[in-house]
Amino acid sequence: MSPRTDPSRHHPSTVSNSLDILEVVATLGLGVTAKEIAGALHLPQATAYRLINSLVAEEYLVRTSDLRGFGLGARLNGLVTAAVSPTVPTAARRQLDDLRDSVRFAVHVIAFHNTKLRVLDADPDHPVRATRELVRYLHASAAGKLLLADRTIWQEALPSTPLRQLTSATVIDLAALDTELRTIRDQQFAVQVDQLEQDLACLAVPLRDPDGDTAGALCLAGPSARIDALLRRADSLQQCAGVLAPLLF
Amino acid sequence: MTTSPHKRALVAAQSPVQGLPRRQLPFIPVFAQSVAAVAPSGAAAVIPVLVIGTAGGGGALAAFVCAAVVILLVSACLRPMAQRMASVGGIYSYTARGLGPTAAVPTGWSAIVGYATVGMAGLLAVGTYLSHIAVTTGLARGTPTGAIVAVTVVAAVVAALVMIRGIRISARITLLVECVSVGLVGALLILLLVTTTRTGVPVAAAMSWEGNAQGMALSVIVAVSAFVGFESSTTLSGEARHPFLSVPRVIRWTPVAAAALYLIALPVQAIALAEAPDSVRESATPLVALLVSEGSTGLSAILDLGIAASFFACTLASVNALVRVLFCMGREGVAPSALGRTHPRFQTPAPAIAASMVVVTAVPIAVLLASVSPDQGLRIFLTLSACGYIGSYLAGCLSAPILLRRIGESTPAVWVLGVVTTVILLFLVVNAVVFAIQDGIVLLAVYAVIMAAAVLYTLALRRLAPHRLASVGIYDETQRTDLLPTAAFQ
Repeated sequence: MSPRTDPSRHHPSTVSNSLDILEVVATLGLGVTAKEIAGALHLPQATAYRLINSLVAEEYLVRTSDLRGFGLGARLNGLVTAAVSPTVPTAARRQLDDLRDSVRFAVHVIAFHNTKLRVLDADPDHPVRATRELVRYLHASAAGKLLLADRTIWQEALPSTPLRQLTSATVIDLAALDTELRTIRDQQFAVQVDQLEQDLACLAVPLRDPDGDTAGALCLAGPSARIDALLRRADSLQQCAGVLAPLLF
Repeated sequence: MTTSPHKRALVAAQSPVQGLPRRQLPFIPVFAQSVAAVAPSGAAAVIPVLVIGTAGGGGALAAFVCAAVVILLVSACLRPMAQRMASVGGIYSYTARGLGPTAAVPTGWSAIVGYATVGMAGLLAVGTYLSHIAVTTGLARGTPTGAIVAVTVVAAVVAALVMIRGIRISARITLLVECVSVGLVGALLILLLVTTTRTGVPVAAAMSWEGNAQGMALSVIVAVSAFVGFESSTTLSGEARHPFLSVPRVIRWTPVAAAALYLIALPVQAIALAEAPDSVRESATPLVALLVSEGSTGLSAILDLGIAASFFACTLASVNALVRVLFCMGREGVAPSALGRTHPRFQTPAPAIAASMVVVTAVPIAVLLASVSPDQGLRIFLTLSACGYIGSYLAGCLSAPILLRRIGESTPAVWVLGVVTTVILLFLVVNAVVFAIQDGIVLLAVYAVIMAAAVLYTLALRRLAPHRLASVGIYDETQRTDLLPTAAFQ
C-alpha cells in the first residue's frame, strides 16, 4: 500500500506521487479526503494538496459535493477500459453465433462507455470497417447515433468544433442531426448509409441495461446497395437484442 | 478510514444549476470575459489621467504598481477557491461556502452593484463616445442628450440580444471588440509617444511626484478600479470546459496583462499631457482632447470608436457576470425564482438578462435626463462600482482561508495571504472613506444604503425563511457522469 517505505525510491517525482494519489483514491474509495490521502502516502500536506488540485484541474480526480472528498474522474475511463480486455459470456456468444449463422451481414457488438464506443465483439468472418472513424465520429455511425439519441443534451457528447464531413453523405448540420435523433428515439433503431465510409451501410439497435439505459448496440453491416435488406431485419434484430442484452450487461 | 455521516449524497445526480450549458466553453472565451470586464483599453485611456492629475507622473506609476500588487494578492486569494469549486455566482458562491450564507447575500449584492454600475457606465460611455465622434469630426457642434440616450438604448438592445443568444457569441464578440480596441489605443499611444518625443517635451513629467501619503493611498484605490472585473470569469466556472484549469489561469494572468498595458500607457500620457493646454487637461476625455488640440480629428475619432468599443465589451462582460449571480440567487430562492430560469433553446439565463438590462439601461438614461453631464454620470457609476467590487473582494479574501479550513485543506500560507490582503484592502477603503467624507459623501451614502438594505433583507430572510438562506451556495457540483464508472455505480 505505501510505496514510500520502499528504500529504492529516494526521490519520488511529481508524476509518481500523482499516480500514487490516484492509487490511494482507487483503494480507499469515493469520499476520501485530502488529509487522508496525504496521511496514507506520508506526503507533506501542502505538497499533497497541490498535487491533488492539479489532478482535479486535469479532471483525473473529482471532488464530492461537500468539496471535502475525492473520487476518480471519468477522464481515467479511457485508461481503465483500455487496460481491461472485454469478455463476452458464453451464453451471449452462443446467441451471437446463432445470429451470425442466420444472416449474410457482418454482426458486431458495440459497448458504450460514457461518450465512447468500443467494439466488444467483432464478427470473426467480416472485419469491422472504418474502426478508427467508428470510435471517433459519433455523428457518422449508426451505433454512435444510438449513443447520442440516448442523451437529452446530446451536444455534450460531441466535440465543440464543427462536425467532420467524412463523406458527402455525412450529416454535419446540428439541426438535421437533432431531427434524425428524434426519429431514432421513436423507431428504436439507427441507420447510416455511406456516412461513415463509401459503400458501407449499418443498422444498429440498442442493447439496454437493467435500468433501461442504452449500454451498447447490436449492429448489422453490409454494402450500401443492400440497405433495404438490412432495414427488413430491424424487427428481428431488436428481438435478438432483447435476448442478448441481459446476457451482456 | 472513518466515514463521516453525510447528510446528502457524495455526488449529485443532477446539477443544481442545470439549464446552463455545462463544461463547454473553451479557454479563450473565458479569458475574454475577464479581459473585457476589466476593459483595459478604455481604462488605459481614462484612469491613468485621473491619477496623474493628483499624484504626478512618478506618483501615478507608483500607484499603479501598488494597485497591481493589491489585485494580484486578491487574485491569489480567489484562486484556491476557483480551483476547488465550479461556482456560477463567483465570489458570492465562494463567500457562501466560506463565511456562510448570511455574509454571502450582502456580498452578492455588493458584486451586483459593482457589475451593474460598470454596465451602466459602459452604456453611458458608448452613448457619449459614439455621439462624440460627430463632434470631433466636425459634423456637429455639441452632443444633445437625446442623441446620447438614443445611442445608449440601441447599444443596450444589441447587448441584451447578444447575451440571450449565448455566452459563446457574446464572448466571441467581446474578444473581437477588445482586441480591436486594445490595438487602436495601443497604436495611438505609440503615435502620441513618437510625436511628443519629436517635439522635445521634457521626459521629467513622467517622474514627477505630487501629493502626500494619504493622497497616494487614494490614488492606489483609483488605480485599483482600473483592474476590477478581472474576477468575473469565475462566474463562468460551470460553463467553462476545464474550469479548475482555465478559471484560475485567467484570474492570474488578466491583472498581469492589464498592468503591462497601464504601465506603458501611463508614462506616455504623463509626458504628452505635461505640455498640453489646461483645457485639454481638464477635459473628461483628455486623451481625445489632446489629439483634437493637435488637429488630428481623424485619429481622435478612431480613439473615440476604440474606447466606445471597449466599453461596449465591458458592458457585455459585466452584465454576463451579473446575470449569473442573479441566476444563482433565483435558483436558491433568495431572489425571485423566475430569475433562476434559463432559455430553453439558447441555454442562457434569459429572464435575468432581460431584467438586469432594463435596470442597467434605465438608470443611466434617468441620470442623463436629470441633466447630469455624461462625465459626471461616468464618475458616479465608476465610483459606485469600485465600492461594489472592493466590498465583494473583501468578503472573498476573508472567505478563502475559512473555506479551505471547512474542507480540511487549509495551510498557513493561505491564512497569511487572506489576512494580509484583507488588511491592505481595509486600509485602502478606510482611507478612501475618510478622504471621500469631504468630497463624495453622497455616493458613499448611496452604496451604504444599498448595502444596509441588503443586510436587512438577509436578516429578514434569516427570520422568515431560513431554509431559503440555507440553500445559498449552490454551484456546479460533480455529477455521476463525471466519475469513473466503478462497480458501485454500475
